Amino acid sequence: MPSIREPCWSFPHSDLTARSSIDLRSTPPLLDPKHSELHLEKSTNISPISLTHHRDYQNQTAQQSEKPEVEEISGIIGGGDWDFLTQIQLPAIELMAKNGMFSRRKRSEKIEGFDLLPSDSHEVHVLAVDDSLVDRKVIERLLKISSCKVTAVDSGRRALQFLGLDEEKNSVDFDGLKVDLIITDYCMPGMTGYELLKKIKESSTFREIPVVIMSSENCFDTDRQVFGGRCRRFYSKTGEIVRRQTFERLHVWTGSSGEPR
Amino acid sequence: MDVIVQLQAQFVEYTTSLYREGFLDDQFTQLQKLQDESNPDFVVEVVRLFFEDSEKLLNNLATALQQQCVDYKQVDAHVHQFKGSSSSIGAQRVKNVCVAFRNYCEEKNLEGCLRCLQQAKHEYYLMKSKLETLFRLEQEILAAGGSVPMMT
Repeated sequence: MPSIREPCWSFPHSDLTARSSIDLRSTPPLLDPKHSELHLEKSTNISPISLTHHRDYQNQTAQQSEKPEVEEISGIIGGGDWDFLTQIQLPAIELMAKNGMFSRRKRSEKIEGFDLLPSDSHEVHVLAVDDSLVDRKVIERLLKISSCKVTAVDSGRRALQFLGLDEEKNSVDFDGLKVDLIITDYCMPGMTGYELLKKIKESSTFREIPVVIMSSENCFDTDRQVFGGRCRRFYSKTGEIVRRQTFERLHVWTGSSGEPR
Repeated sequence: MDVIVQLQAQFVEYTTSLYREGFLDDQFTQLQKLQDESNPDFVVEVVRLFFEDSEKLLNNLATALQQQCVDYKQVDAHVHQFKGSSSSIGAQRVKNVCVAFRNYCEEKNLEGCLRCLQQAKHEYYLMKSKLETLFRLEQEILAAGGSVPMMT
């Protein structure tokens, strides 16, 4: 039974700096203090593995000195309408991005929210992959509300075609539309989300694109070990999360540290 | 004015009962939050997609279970899809049947599967008619010049 809604999330003005590889205190705030970092409240049975991976990731990036420093950016995909997003309680997604792929707003502008805008200021373009028509519609709406441009496809194969990675077909649209983020369902017939991820990471053109994998508990647990140390894992607060069946767990595959298994 | 108030009260009562009786869960509330003036038909559209999808799946399930040699993997795949889409729109009772259904698939229990299919059909059509009633109530409120109360 629905009740008066209090936000389920807490928004601590917290720990962004503790988790970052850069000391953000030395730079202008990325987030409007009104909209502090959105944490995904981790459930109590969070596996220690995901924290380890975080540290591993940081170690790895420290070692890759020839590569640009990776900024750890916490926040919602897309544009600045944080209020609405907090209301719908979209789980926070931590995106790892190389410098230059995502840029901060110009300092002279009033910072109203954190925008993940490519430096030429076009909308964030998300490629959403899900075999369920219903879920595609929901994801599309969610992302559009977040001011993202969305391309939704129904399979991994189509996604690869869209990116121009399919051996047999080439996407004619590819040149015009740079993809900034890929969100994919895990459990799909044909190519799973993980297989799609691997293909993307094998491509020198696309391997830097962050990939978010959605899974429902059901399907994912059996392949849990597959992900190992290569991605950031977020667990939803069970029972309270919004689209829990669709976004039950969001696994962010980091662009720079990941190597496909 | 009275008419609107009455319709709104009816709507609230009906919606509340749907949640109380387990037809809808919080997911449905969240879907409604995605709807706004720029997208006033979002929920109806998603639900329509769900109806189309579900009817296809139910047919596929019936066919798959009628085979001489039932392919339980295939049946399970269909149920998985059905479970997914019903979860996504908050059709709780349908989803629950799917959970039981999957267990029977795993056990390769034909009788159990057939029973679940019947149950799934039953719950689905019940859900469908309830949602159609709900949407009709919404339309009546709007037609009378009122606004649809938001469930929180």
